[in-house]
Amino acid sequence: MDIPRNHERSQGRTAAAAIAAVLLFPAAVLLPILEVEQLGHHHQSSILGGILELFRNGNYFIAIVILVFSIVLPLAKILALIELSWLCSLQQRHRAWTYRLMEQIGKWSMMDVMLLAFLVMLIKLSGLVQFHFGPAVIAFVLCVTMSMIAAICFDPHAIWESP
Amino acid sequence: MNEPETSPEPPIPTALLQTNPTISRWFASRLWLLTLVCGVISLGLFWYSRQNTGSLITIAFREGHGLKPEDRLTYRGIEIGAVEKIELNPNRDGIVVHVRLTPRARSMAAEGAKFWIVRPMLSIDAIRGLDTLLGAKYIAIDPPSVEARAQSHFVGLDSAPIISPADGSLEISLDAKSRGGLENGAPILFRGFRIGNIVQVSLAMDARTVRARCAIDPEYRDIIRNNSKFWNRSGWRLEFGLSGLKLDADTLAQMLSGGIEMATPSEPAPSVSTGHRFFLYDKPEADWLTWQPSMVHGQTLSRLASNMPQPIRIALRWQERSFGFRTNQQRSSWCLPLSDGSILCLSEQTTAPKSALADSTQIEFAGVSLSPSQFQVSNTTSEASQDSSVESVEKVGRFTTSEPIPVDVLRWPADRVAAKLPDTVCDVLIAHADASSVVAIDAGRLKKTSIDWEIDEQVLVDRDYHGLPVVSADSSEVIGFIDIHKGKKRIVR
Repeated sequence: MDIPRNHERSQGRTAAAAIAAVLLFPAAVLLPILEVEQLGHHHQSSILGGILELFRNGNYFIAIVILVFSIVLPLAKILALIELSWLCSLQQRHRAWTYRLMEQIGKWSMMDVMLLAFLVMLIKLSGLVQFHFGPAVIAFVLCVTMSMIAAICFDPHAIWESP
Repeated sequence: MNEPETSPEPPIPTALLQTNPTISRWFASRLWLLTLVCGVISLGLFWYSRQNTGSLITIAFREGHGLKPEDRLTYRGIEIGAVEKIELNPNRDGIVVHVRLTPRARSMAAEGAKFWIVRPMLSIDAIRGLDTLLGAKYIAIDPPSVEARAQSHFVGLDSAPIISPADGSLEISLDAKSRGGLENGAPILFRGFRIGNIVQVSLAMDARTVRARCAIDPEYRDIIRNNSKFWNRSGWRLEFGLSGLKLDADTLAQMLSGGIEMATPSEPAPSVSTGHRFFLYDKPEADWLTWQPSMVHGQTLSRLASNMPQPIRIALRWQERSFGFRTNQQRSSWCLPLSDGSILCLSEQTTAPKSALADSTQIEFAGVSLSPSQFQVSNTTSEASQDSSVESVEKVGRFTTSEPIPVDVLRWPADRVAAKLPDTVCDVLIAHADASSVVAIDAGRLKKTSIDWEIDEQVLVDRDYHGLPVVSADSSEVIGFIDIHKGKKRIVR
């Protein structure tokens, strides 16, 4: 009785962290993340807004890369984690398949890398233009943290335990 | 826990509340608290962001004038918004500018706001928008009134709006035969002093005249009277004659943009109200330039207007015997009821000449008629001044009456009557029952004599002003009364 309880606890944790990440995701993506002030001009953009701007300017490749790796895949990973931690509703085979998928997605989900990119930009450009982070940064950092916690808490053994 | 494992008795069929153990443990994790916090943070960030982003408005213009995205919307010299994007409108006959207001300026997007693109303008009396000659263009706003309804689509103006006249200014229109070089914004001058300006010059409705809408500054509105004359002083007048070349121009601005000069006759008519129409002459008649009206204007009046004595008419009637007949005689001037119940007036107003028949005198004022027994004359000044010399005979008398004075008569506070004329002359106002007839006299027009102040002959004081109270412009106290005798005008006590 002890072992399944452990699994269940890990699943509870995973679900909690993953749902927290999902709640934070819209704020991270939609709200302005960067506020740039250059020569008196004030400009602010969100991640999604930046991607749309790239599309509008015709940089389809970069736009798609950023869209896929920092929005679609991270979201898919979190959703997959939630699905896996939702034990009762899934068949074992389905779960195994989802797990493998998630493992693959996880490698390509670059949300944390993007955070690093922002940090590099802040250090490099701070002399040229004045810019500060918008409210989305808090959501973004928390979202990355939460999805990491969810991934750490997840115990793959649970998949092969019969509920 | 829920299921009894060993029971000595056969199980009694009791309804057991069976909770799903998986679900309950699933939610047992304390990490769910964190989830809740994250949800709150997410909502909080959305709320915060909404508070900090201004509303988006669109303004339609006919012409872009080189406006670019990220150009500013400014008000009073600071940025209150930025252009986000500019696009052609669907009909291709104009542009649509999307402007993001700063959060604090949200109330600017309301009905009645006017927008225009500021661009360099070189006009004669002013150079406007010079900052846009080299720098970026910007949109300026004339803000809506405070309680206007919110709105997000606007139609912009082609050029800066006509500056609306200040509150309380007098708007008049002048009809002229031709434009004669008048420009919007040209000054209106009184003795070469700017008292207002032309708001707009346009053709009259029926195109028979040119109409100039003018705004007179609030402090000078009392200079414009019913009988004022206006003439065009546009441009320069070059006179070439035997005496040589004569160039006549006042200021450079007036030389270039034209101007209107005005004069008010020495006997000013009542003030006019907004909308009054005057004719604009081409040139002044000779005597207009010699008019010397004394009018109260500006701050002196606004300070004292609510605070002027209200003189009322008073008449002294008596009977005389001439050629064997009884004839009725009367003498009328003004008096000033005081708060202590007494009445101030010229002393001649209370005493009938010696030729009057006994018991025939009567004083009438404010609808009250008093026989000699009903009023008591008392002198205003102290006993000391009375016996000093025969010269200083009291010109102003004070009388009290036992008869009730009607309550609707305004009374002047008794403590605001000076005991005597001030030692030095000062600017004075002659109070009148009709506020527009108040006359101001500059101290320079007064001459102090041993007993009274003489008013310069140039100052026109109507014969009817005899007996009116005079108020000092400095202390706003009643200092004396007007006495007009044989053409000599004096302020007496």
